[in-house]
Amino acid sequence: MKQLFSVSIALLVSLTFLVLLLFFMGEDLNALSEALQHTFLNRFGLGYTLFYTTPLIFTGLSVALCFHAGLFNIGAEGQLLWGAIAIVAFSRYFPNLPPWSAIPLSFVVAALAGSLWGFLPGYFKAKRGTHEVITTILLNFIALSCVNYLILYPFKNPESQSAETSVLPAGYQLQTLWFPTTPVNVSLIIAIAVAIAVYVLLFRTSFGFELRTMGQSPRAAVFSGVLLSQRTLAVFMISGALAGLVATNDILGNEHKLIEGFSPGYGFTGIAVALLARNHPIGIIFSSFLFGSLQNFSRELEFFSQNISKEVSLILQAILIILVSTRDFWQRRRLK
Amino acid sequence: MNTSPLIEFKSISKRFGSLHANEQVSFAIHQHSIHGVIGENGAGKSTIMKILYGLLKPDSGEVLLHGHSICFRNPHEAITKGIGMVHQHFMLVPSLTVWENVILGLEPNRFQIDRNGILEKLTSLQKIYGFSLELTARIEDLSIGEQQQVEILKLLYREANILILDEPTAVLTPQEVTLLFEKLKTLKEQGKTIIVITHKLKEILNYTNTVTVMRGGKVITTQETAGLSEGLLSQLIMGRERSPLPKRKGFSEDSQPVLQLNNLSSSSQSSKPLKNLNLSLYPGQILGIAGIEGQGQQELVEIICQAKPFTGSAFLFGIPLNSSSAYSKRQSGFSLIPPDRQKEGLVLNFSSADNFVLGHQREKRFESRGFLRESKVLSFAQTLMNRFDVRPAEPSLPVKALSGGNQQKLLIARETSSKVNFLLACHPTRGVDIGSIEFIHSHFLKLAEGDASILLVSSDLDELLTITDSIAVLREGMIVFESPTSQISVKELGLWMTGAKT
Repeated sequence: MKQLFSVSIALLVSLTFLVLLLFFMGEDLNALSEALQHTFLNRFGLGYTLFYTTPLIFTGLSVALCFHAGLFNIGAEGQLLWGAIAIVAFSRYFPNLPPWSAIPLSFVVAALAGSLWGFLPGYFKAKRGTHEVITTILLNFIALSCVNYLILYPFKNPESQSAETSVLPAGYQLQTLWFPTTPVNVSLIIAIAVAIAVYVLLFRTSFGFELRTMGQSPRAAVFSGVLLSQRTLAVFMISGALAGLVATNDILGNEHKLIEGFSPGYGFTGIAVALLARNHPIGIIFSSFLFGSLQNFSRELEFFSQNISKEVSLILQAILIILVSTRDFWQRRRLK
Repeated sequence: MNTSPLIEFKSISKRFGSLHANEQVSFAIHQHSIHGVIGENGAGKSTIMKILYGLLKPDSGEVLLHGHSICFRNPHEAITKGIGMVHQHFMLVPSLTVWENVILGLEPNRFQIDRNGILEKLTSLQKIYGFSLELTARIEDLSIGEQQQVEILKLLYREANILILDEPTAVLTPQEVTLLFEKLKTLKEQGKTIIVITHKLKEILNYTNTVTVMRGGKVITTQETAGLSEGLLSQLIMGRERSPLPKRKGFSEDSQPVLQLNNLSSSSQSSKPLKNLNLSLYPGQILGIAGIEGQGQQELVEIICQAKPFTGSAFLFGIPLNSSSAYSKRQSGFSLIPPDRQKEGLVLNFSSADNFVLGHQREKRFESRGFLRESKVLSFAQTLMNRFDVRPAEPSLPVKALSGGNQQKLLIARETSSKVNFLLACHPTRGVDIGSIEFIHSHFLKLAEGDASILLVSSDLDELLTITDSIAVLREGMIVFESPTSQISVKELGLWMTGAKT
């Protein structure tokens, strides 16, 4: 409840900022209302907003799960890239699968690929104590280079001028859900289901109990007989799998191919998403929706305005995060 | 006492929510005396002192100083009126020297410090009050006892006439305790008034002139210490008589030892490595490890818990220490009360119920198919909280809401509720009031009666002498002395601990 309140305040502040920005840049304020309508109020707009929500749920969960165990996963970006390329590779080897097996198997393959990339920082942390922030950041660069190579050479679409793979076979193409002409697809439902599953895992199982103990007090975990190295490995692999699933939304559901640079930094926005939701899996669904709307909204704003670019969403995100994460600070001042 | 009192509390009441921390508290403290305030955890001792020191505001009632009503808004005002407090946790900067710490916050001039003037003043203060601190030594190089003297010197430099000491002996060795109270006596003779908050009976009886006993937020009595006996005092504090500890039946060295360490040494980097430790612990035996803090106790505990590598051989339950996992050892009856209950034994942000299953989360009674059985956990926690009198007995409340003593009881309840064959207990009664200490000790004796072995790491000599069968003294990573408890005295033990005897 408190969190909801502080988020609303933060939203209000960032909206005020936006109005001022538009005003001083001599924009027509109608652009704002047009953009808002095309984000929430019509089918087309809402569809795109939901489409942008899906990947953030996955990366938000990936970051949050690690965080509960006291670990920082900055590597969701690299993990999701491997998930994407794995789907492409899989579809090339099994081009003739019917949708009922191609789609579920693609989800599995994407998750596996992400989890393998999550295994590495987990292993370094567990066996050598290498700090996971360093390894995950560095592994992002490695993943980016490798995946770009795969897109540009082995899997390149020979008929295309741009850096992208060939179009996926028909069995791998997801249909749109509920919102015609928009790319919303079944990944959204899976994402919400996964969020609930992560909630159950964290707060209802003994495994989740051990993870949270690790996060709260690693020494208490050791003394109570939890094997930290095993759990670290496991949690990184699950986090990697969650991030790997991001690719299903865009590759299976929208583009039907992998374009170089398809992720606008979902893995990093996931950190903000998790922060806003205070790492609560269910809260992440909502904070993802918020960030998804921001992304869609700024795209629309760019379209309806003269001089505003869609990067304004980054400014709004930043304001939100600063306000929400300094909540304690404001409250303490009020107490004094 | 015919003079008018220096400090007088008049019907002070203070509530925190529904809790009456102080209820109609009235007592007086006279000049040039050592006044003890004693009571169990949560009796309201600290609250009343915090009110005097300006850290808390009373809901009603007033405090008189020299007959005038006072109400400090903060400790700074209290200090200007000559009232100073030494907290349980020292407020010193380790990397600064003694004299720098003393003047911290009082720097006379923004750009210039009159070093020689300060040193001169401090030297004369030391002479008057019988201190002998090296003024240019760094705090981090001083012993705990010396650090405490720096805290007192700080107050003297600020010309405090009334010194409040909150649990000053909790961290000291027996020798240091004697030294501290000798210093306090000198201070008293030089005209200072000293208030000591404690829950140790002996300190009250041996060193104070007057004592105020508190229980449940109320003052039970304020009287001269001279007429009091240990039994009477403990009865006043607890509101009942002390129950005698159960008799020990002894143990036999014929059976296979539960824990056996041969030539155990640390093999990892450590500030206090263990050197060639030999120990055997038999079924039903309580073996005490005595020693000043930081002589390798932590290292020993971590090695037994498999958190650190070692050389030499170590057997627990007859099998090599490293041949089974920590978890399976717990299953075969290894229980642990770690040295730092808040960081190692409990998870403060978790509920009491969750803390009760910590370490047992994979057992059938709490888990089915990977899921925790919440109702089982809750009812288990409720039962144990009632049995061990952990208050408030509300399993869903986070553990950080419990007082230190209750946290310790929760920990002990958890670690001794299932079958115990070997209990490694570190400072089990630290910061715990006498009622609970008695409970914990008799519980340990009962466990030993059931043939459990207990390795008791403690720096509290009374504790060691009361319940152990034998005592080994650890100093600088070595066992320097070992003897049956019945053949050893406090004095001798103290000498071995400090290294005066080798």
